[in-house]
Amino acid sequence: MGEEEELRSIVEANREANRHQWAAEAKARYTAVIGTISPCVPAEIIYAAGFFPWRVTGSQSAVHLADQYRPQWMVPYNTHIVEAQLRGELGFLDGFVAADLDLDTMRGWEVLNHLRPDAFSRLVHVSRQGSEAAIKMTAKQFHRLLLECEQWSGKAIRERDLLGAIQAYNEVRRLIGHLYGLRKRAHPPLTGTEMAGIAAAATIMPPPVFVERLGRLLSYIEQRRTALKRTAPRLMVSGDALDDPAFVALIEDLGTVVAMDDCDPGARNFIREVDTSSGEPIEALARHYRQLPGCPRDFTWPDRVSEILRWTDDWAIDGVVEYSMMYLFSRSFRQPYLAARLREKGKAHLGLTVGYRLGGDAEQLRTRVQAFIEMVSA
Amino acid sequence: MGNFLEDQIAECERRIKRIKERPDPSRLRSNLVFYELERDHRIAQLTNWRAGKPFAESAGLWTFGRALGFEQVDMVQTADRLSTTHLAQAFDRVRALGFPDLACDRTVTMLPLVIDGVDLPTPHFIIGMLTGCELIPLAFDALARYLNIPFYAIDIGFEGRSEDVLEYVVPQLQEAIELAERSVPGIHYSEERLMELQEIDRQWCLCYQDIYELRKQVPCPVGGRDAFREPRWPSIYFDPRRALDYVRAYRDDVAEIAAKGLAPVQDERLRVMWAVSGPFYYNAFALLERHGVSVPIFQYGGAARLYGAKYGIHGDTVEFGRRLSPLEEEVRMASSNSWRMGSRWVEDTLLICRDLKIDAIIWYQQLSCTPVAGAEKLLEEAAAKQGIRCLFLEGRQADQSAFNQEDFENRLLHFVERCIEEKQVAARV
Repeated sequence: MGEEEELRSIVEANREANRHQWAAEAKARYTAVIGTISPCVPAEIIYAAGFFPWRVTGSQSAVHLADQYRPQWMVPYNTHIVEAQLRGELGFLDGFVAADLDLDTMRGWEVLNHLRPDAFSRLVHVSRQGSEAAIKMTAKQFHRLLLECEQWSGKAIRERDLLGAIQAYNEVRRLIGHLYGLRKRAHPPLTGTEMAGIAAAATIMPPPVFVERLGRLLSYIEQRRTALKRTAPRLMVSGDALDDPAFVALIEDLGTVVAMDDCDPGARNFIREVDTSSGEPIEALARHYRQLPGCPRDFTWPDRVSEILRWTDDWAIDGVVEYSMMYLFSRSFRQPYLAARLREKGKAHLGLTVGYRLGGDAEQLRTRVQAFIEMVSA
Repeated sequence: MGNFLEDQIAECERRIKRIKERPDPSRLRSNLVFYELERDHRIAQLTNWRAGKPFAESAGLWTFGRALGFEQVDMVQTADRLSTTHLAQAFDRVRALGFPDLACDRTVTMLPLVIDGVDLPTPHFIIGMLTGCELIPLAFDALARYLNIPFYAIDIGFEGRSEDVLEYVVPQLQEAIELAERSVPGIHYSEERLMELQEIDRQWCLCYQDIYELRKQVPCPVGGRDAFREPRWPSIYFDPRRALDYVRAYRDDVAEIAAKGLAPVQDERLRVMWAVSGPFYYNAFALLERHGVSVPIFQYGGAARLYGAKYGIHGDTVEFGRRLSPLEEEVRMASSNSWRMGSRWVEDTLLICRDLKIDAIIWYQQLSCTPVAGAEKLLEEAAAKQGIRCLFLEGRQADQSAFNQEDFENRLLHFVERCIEEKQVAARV
C-alpha cells in the first residue's frame, strides 16, 4: 500500500464500512472489547485490564427502533447508539463503560444496560467541578472501575500495567499532538476533515497499532501538500460527538481550511498527555479526564473557554464554527458565553444547530457557512 | 403590566379578596394562608430589592443560601408563574440573547427576568446544584457569566447516599461559604441560623409526611390540583416560619377532609399517579375527577425524600448510621434525588405506587426535561409487572402554543377508561 493510500485507510478507519474491523481483530488479541461512551471514560484503565476500549459510534441509519426508548428530542448521538444496539450493530461488544457526561448519556447507558444484562456495563462519575475534592472523587470512581475490571477479568491490574497503558495512550496523544502542531502551518499538510478522521481512528484502533501505522507515515505527512482550494480564512470547528466527517468537509469544500478543532473526537481527547510525574496514576488520570479542554459539560467554563481562545491564537484562527448538537444543553447554554469571549478577542463566531449526521439540512448549513466565510474574509 | 413582583402582589390581593368575600367551602381554607404568604413574600422581595439587600439564587439549597444571610431570588418557580403575555416576551428575549428556546420552559424563561433587571432582583451570588435537574445549574452558570456574578456549582454525583458523598460535598459547601463571604459584603455564614432553619424544614417535611399518610386513604382526601402543586421550601420565603404555618394549615385541612370523608372523588374508579410535570395552563385533574379518577400524588425527583416514602430527613440516624452535622444534613437532603438515576426513579416511583395503591401512572414529559427522559420504557416494563399501566404524554409545561386540548383530553380519557375496564376485569377474576 502506498503512503497516501495508507493515510487514507487511517482517515477512513471509523467509517461505517471499516470501524468494526478493528474491534473484530481486537477480539482475538484482547480479553474483551468494551464500548466506551463519552470522552471522559478512562480508556487506560480498561486497556490495563487487558480489554480493548472501543469508542462507540452511533448507527448511521435513520432512527426507528430507538424511538421506543428515547423521545425524539434527546441528544441524537446517544439515540443513535441505542439504535445501533437494537439493530445488532454492537452485538460484538462485551460491555459498555460510560461517564456521566450528562443525564442524556446516563439514560442512554441505562437502556444499553437494560438491553444487555449479560454485558460488563459500568457508569463512572466524572466531576464537573474544578476543586481538588472533585479530582479526589473522580479518582475514587476510577479506582472503583479498576477494581470492577479486575473482578470481571479475574486478573489483577498492577501499577505497572496501568502506567504501561497510560504510556501507550500518551504515545497516541503525542503523535496526534505532533500532527496538530503541523496544522499551524499556513498550508497544513492535513485537512481538517483528514484530522477528524485520524482522531476518530485513534479511538477505535489499539494504541500500538495506531502508533505504528501512523508513525511510519510521519515523514510523508510532514512534506505533504493537501488539495485544499484555499487556506484562508483559518477556521476552528467546535463540537461534540462529531462523528460524521461531512460536517468538517462541508466547511472546507466551500474554500477554506479548518485548521484546528475543539471536538470530540479530536483535540479534546488528544492535545494533552496524561501527566504522571506528580503522583499516583489513578489520580493522574482523574486530573486529566476531569479537565478535558473545551468540554462544555464542565462548570469551569472560563477555564475551558480560555483554552479554546488560546488555541485560536496558537493556530492563527480567524473564526470558530460551533456545531451545537440538538438538545445538548451544556453546549447551547454556554454558546452565548463562548461567542462573547471570542468577540472580545476579535474572533468571529458562527453557531449552528445540527443533528448527528449531516442530512437534509446540508444546503442550509452550507449557505450559512458560506456567508460566514465571506464575512470573515472581508 | 408592572414588573413580575408587582403583578404577583396584585394577583394575590385579588385572590385574597375573592376568598374573603366569597368563601367556597369546597376549597381548602389554607389557600387563604398561602396567598397571604405569597403576597407578603413578594412585598418583602420588592422591599429588600429596593433597599439593596443581598440576594442569592440557590435553588435546591435555599436553606443553605438563607443561612449565608441572603434573601432568595426564587427564579425557577417564578418562571412557572408567568402570564401568557409575559412568557411570550420571555421566550422572545431568550432567543435574542442566544439561549436555547427548546430547553425546559422554566430553566430558560427565568433568565431574562433577571438579565433585563425589570422583574426580579439580580442575585449577588448563585449556587448551582447538580442533583436532579442539570439544566437549572447550567442556566445559572450562563446567568453568572452573563452578569459576572460569583457562582459556585455543587457536584453531587449519581450514587446517592453514602459517606463518600458527604465527604465529597461538604467541602464544596465550605468553599461556597468562603466564596460568598469573600465576594458579597455583609454576608456571613451562621451555623446557628442553618440549624434553626433546618428545624423549620424538618417540621415542614413532617407535615408533608403526615399528608402522605393521609393520601393512602381510599378515597384520597387530597385533590389532584393540590397534589400537583410543587412544594415551596420554607427558606424560599422571607419568613420561613410562615411557610411552616401554611403547611400545617394545609395538613390540618387535609386531615379534616379525611376525617369527614369529604374526598374530592368519593367513588374512586381509579387512582392515578401524575409524574414529572404537567401543563400549567390546563387543569387535567378536574377532568379526571369528573370521571372518578383521583390523583393522590405528583411524583417528581424530591418526592420520595420529602414525603418520607424512602429516605430520611434532618435528624434521621438510620440512613447514615449516625447523626449528621448541619452541613452534612444539607447534603443528605440534596442527595438521593429520584431523578439522578433512571433505575432509582423506577424503584422510588413504584414504591410510592404500592404505598398509595396506585393503579396507573400518567407521565407528562416536559419537553427537554432531562432528568428522566429516556427512562419511560424502563418504568413501563417494571410497572407492568406490578399491574400498573403507564400513559406517556409530551408537551411544554408553561408554553401552551402547541397544546391541543381536545387531543389531550381524548388521550387521557381513553387511557383511564381502559385502565378502569382492566381493573374491573381483574376484580372479577
